[in-house]
Amino acid sequence: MSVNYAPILWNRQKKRYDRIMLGLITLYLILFAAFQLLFRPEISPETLIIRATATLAFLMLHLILMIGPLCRLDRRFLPLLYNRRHLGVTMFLIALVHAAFSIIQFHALGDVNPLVSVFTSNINYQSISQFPFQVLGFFALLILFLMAATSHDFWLDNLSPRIWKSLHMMVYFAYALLVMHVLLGVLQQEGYPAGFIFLGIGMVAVSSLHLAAAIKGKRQEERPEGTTADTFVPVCRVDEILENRAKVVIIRQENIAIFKYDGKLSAINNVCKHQNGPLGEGKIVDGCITCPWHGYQYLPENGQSPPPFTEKVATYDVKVMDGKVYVNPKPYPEGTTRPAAVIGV
Amino acid sequence: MILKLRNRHRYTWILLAFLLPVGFALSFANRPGPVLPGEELIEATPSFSEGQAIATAMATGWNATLYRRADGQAWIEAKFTKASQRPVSTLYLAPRAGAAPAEGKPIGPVGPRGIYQYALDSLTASWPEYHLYFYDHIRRETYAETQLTKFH
Amino acid sequence: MPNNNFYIGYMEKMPASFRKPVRLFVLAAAILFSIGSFLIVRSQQAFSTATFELGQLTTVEGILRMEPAPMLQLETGKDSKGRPILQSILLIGFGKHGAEATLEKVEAQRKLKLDGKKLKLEGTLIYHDGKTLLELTQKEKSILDVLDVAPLNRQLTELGQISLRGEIADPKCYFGVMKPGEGKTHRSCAARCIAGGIPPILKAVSNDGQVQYFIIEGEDGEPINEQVLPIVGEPVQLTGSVVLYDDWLVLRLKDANSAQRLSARFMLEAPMCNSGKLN
Repeated sequence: MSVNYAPILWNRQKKRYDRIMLGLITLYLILFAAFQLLFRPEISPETLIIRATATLAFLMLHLILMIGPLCRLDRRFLPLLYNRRHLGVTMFLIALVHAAFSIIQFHALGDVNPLVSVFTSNINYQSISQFPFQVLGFFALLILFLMAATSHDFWLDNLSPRIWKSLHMMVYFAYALLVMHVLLGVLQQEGYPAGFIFLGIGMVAVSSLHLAAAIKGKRQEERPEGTTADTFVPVCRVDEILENRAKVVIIRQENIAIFKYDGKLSAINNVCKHQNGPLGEGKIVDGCITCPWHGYQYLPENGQSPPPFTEKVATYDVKVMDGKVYVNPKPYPEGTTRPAAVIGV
Repeated sequence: MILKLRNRHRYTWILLAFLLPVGFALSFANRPGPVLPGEELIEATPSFSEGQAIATAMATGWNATLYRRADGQAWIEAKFTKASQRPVSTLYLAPRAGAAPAEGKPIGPVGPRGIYQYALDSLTASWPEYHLYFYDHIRRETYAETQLTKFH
Repeated sequence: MPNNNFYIGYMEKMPASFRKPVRLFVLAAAILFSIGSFLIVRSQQAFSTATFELGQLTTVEGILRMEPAPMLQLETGKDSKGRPILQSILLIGFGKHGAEATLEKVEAQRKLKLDGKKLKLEGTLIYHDGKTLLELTQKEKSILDVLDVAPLNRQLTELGQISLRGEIADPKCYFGVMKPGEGKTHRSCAARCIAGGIPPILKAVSNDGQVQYFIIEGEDGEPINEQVLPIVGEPVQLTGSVVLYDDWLVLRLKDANSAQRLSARFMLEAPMCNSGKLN
């Protein structure tokens, strides 16, 4: 959590994550080079590097894009999300090697600046079969660069989580650009159906996971009716909430998590201050509501992070009547202490 | 995630689930066609015809046949089916196996894949044996020596 | 999910119930990477057997010819009629440049015309399919020696009109520097090389696998590098007259605008951009 900024706060899980990631990357590069030298030994070293890094970065991007929806479909994938940023930054660096080699190979040592050449050497923007596909890759890399450059929590905090998340959602646009970069580039060049089939499988896998997660999320959303802004709204029965867990409801655009712990109920805003993670999918650990994404913590009665941390979220009034839970959607200022509703009274 | 962003995710993927397949189909349908082989290339050298095959050789990537015409004109017709992997090379004819480069006669250059006719003088054409080899002028070495087998 | 299982990244150990899906994901990624690398490599088109002797300098001697493009002529013997067998090495500059600029600098330094002189050159060889090129890797320093020789007649043969389908490429990349050195992914590079003064070539293939390479020029033998830039690296049909310069075929286009783009495999984009014109 944020008191001061270290370059990277290492812990055992992160180290394991990175070791596995680097191991898989090494495996891919070694296998790719070995198969290439075995089956297509005539390849030039530059083309080998360009193709190995391109295919690796694109495969990694597919995996990265699958982690989010997988976690929403099954929370047990959350450990993959925890350090996804390292995966993203590494993928960008691999894509950067691909771009640097391609720009040097195809555009350097010529009569114009290589970066100008990327945009001017092929101007068939009106054609599909001759489209300047390199431009698409260039802009996708630019987006990935912005994301990698702002991936640290320093930027998350300074840009505000909402803007940061919006910026990082541009990865979907980058993905679309890259799909077209691959389709209009190497797949049209090679012409074989195999490449189209591989890409098609990747596209279907990523899109269907995202759509499935969206449908599941929409189904799970509970929006009890609130007549006015300042009345208690019935939510559920007390026994529907598990101990140390929460029930999430959306009332009049307020996203509220109601936690049950130690025979009490408390309601806080469902949105974590760190990356806007869903606090209501978290758990009370050592008396603190703990975010499922990165473990940020808040006290249930006042929505404040325990000292020395400074994050605060809004709190709400809760009451229990006849075994039923009621919540008032009127938010109190962030960090306001509200008495917990005692169950069984 | 806050509701706005979650909704934005939802709409983004509904849009992408529609747009990506459209892009895919358009790209697939508009693959640049293969460069079709031209029906006829230019005839670059005067061609001999109506000769009798005297001797022939088959090798990996190329073959050659020695022809002789009624008027005594002889030539070798060579067909290169694989691209040469040597710089500046010339085809030589020699009267015996393992001949020193100086013993053979250069009959013509090695060019791109195709059929070539190399004229022979009457003296060369009457040699008892025919051995073809290539000479690489950059590395100054002979390679791929092959004997033409006579027809009986 | 049992209530007592909750994952926090900074915990020492991952709870048991999380291990299975995470391991499954890592295993799936490992399988994807292993099988994927194999399938991707196997699904590529074969690369050409062309050679670029990067880092290896070779010395060659021959007569410099500036027409139709700078080339060094080697007399490699005499044919059955006693005529010289001439084999030419196309000269290319360093990087994506033609050889002219380098040769002109040497002419200015030595205050003489190089065309027709015997030159000793040191450079990097590029060769494929019976064609050889020499990159003047060390620029002006690639010209080691210039000698006067008796003029040698050139064998120029007019071969008439022809219409050919093929692809315009830059000979430097096509004959060895890059793989693939043709097609869509190489298009930008071919445009850069041709814009830099490397003569454009047309590769044409017959039905039975014969190949001919043509240096492309304007009607009067003038360079038309700029005019062909919009159509490099794609299937085109070119019409012009053919001249054989010793061992290099030259295709002289009557009108660069007459070049026809061959339509895509399907007609989808035909009304959109298949104008059949260059500009």
